[in-house]
Amino acid sequence: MNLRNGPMPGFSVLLAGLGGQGIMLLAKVIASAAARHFPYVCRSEFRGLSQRGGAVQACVRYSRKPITAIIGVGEADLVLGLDALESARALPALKPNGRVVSHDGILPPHHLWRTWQDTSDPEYESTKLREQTLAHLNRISQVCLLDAGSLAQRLGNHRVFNFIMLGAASHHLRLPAESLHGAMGDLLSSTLVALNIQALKLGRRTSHERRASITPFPVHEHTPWVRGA
Amino acid sequence: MKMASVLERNHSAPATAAGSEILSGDHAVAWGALDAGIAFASSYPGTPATDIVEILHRVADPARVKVRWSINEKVAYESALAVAIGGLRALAAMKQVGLNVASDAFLNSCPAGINGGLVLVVGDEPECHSSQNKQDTRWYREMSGALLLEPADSQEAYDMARAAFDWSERFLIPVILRLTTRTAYGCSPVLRRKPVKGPSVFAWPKNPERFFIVPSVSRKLFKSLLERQREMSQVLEASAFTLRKPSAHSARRTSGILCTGLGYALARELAPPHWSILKVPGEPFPEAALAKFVRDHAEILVLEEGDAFLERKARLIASDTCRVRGRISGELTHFGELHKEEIRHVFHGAASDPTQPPWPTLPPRLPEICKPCGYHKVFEAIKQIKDVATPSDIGCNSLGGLPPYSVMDGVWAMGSSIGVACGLAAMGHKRVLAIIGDSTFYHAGIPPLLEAVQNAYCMTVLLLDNGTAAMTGGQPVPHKSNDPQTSKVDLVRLIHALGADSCLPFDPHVLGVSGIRQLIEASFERSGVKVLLYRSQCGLYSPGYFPARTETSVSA
Repeated sequence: MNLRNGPMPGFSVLLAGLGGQGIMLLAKVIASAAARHFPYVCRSEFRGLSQRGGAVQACVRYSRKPITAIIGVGEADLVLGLDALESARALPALKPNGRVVSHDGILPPHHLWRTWQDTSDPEYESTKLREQTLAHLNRISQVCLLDAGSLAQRLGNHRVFNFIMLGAASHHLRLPAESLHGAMGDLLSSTLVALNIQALKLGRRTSHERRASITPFPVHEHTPWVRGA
Repeated sequence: MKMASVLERNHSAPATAAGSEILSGDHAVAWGALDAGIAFASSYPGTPATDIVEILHRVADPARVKVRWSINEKVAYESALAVAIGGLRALAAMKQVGLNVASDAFLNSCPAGINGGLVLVVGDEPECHSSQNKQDTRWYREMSGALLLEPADSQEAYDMARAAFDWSERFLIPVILRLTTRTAYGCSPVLRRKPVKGPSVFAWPKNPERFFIVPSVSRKLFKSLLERQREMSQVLEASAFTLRKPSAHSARRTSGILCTGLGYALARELAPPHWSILKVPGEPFPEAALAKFVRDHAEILVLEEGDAFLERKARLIASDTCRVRGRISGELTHFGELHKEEIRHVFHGAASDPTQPPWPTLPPRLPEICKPCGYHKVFEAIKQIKDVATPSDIGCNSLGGLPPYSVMDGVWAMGSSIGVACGLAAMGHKRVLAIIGDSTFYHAGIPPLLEAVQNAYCMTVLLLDNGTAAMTGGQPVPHKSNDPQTSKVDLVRLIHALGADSCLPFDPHVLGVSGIRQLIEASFERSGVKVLLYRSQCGLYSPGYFPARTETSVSA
């Protein structure tokens, strides 16, 4: 879909996960890539109590019209989740035809884990909660679940987890992959760029092979809006 | 120049123009203040205003701008006030409840005013994301007679920060810059303009006719302050920050949106073209301009973050000819932030798509104390103590009020733990345990401790010293200043000097849960004011301050 076939008024990505997973950095990368193509780009920075076990959400929105950094109920084109439980929590924000790309694992909330330790088997309960969560996610028609943790292991560094997930979602961002690479070059320290681009590509390839039932959004034609013009 | 940039941005020019950066509102305010040539900035940390001074600490040239984390908001404001009275430009930043602490100094400084520009940035939290209160700073503006500006996005936060200094100097009055959670943390493109140098000579005036506000002086000053209100409102209305968008259908001027701050950003995004818009940039805004807008429409929707402030004014003006819609009318929620669904409902009627599946109920993720933190042991110990009153305080220690511990009876304001404990002790409660962190103790805990000593109350104060203001991101506390060589504050000596009957430092990792419990229990046996001083480094911040512990004792 390009401008001639009908303008895309705007695109909203909701990122969901936990403190320390690198969600803020992903939001910055997407925003920076989007700024190469869209005149109006917004991003939110909600950290809250992320360092104390709380969830983290960030959003990026890009558009041809003025927008706010707020994603209301049913406004997200894409939920990019780094923890399946947090992806499920973000579902009310999803558009009826929106996509979900999510890591398929969960970190159970600490207070539940403690209760399970006292009353039951934490491993069993945790698996059960994960299955319930994935069942919720699978009710969305356009969902792609993958194990980013094991893919990151394949690259020998669990910290590239977030960029594997960005890669997996990159089909659906309506942004050319080169713009994401460029943004990463701008925002990451030079020693980390190559490894994270490798992670991005691995995630992208994996979700493409997986295909699931999910149709990628068409990527936007290049630079319909010229920077600085 | 300024006018042109604001107008272009809102109506035609692409926002991500060359040279622009995507910044948060806080970040934009920091840059705006720097580019306006400030000489001084001070703050006490508090969400959502912490980042402003965090960023200034990082980017300002210390030779030109003195940046301070103050003891509390009142001192932060007073320090900035002195700099501005001396003719230089200064900024003070705080969260909305911080202004309660600074309000005595702020309200009393407005009539006499300043010479150099003084901007007070206040971060409001309509949804109480990280606050105990949703209070709306615009009420303080009504009491003070100061000028107030409220940006809609980061570019405007930058532009308004710069304009605020000019207007402050023009009207000789502090200017409040009101951010709300979403404008403080929302990031959008900001194009910086050429910086100005700002005044460079600091000269403390000897002018008691103006600054020595005894009643006879006050009466004169208030007269002059009231006289300036009219001119302030005219300048505000004539500025580029006031926007009027006519309805796209010239024949249909029936519906209008009256908005300010984030309300304007939402109107710009969501309003159908036949709704006209009046964007109010702040206060005081001319009554006549509001009245004209209300008279010109059959219905208006008021979009504002926080209280129904403009809506009240509009309702006072509106007669039967204009229907005022908003929070008071019940169409928008009366408490909290603006919700897009509710605004859409006003515009389009129908509710959101009913075909969505029912959303699952998921277990929440409650905030908790970090794993290795010694607070766990303290809260576990308190949990085992029976019949104890536990007034607690703001900061990480308030997490002890949440599961799995839930050991706090209540939390009120900064320093209230000890103040409330005074009342409990006066009523003869024998087992009072006030729980307070180190940064909060310095902020507002010292006067109530003196009160306790003065009255020889029987209470135990559990002072949790983790060497930092942890909850807000690890800002320094006085006994560990940025340069330990120059820090003269010794917390133990301070407590003794205040007259506490005892001060017992302990390491929670050495003492363990039962040791802490015994320590607290034993303190109830003795009379007077007993301070139990927890000393253990916060794991997240300030490494290396307290003696290093072995890994085993941390994880034990």
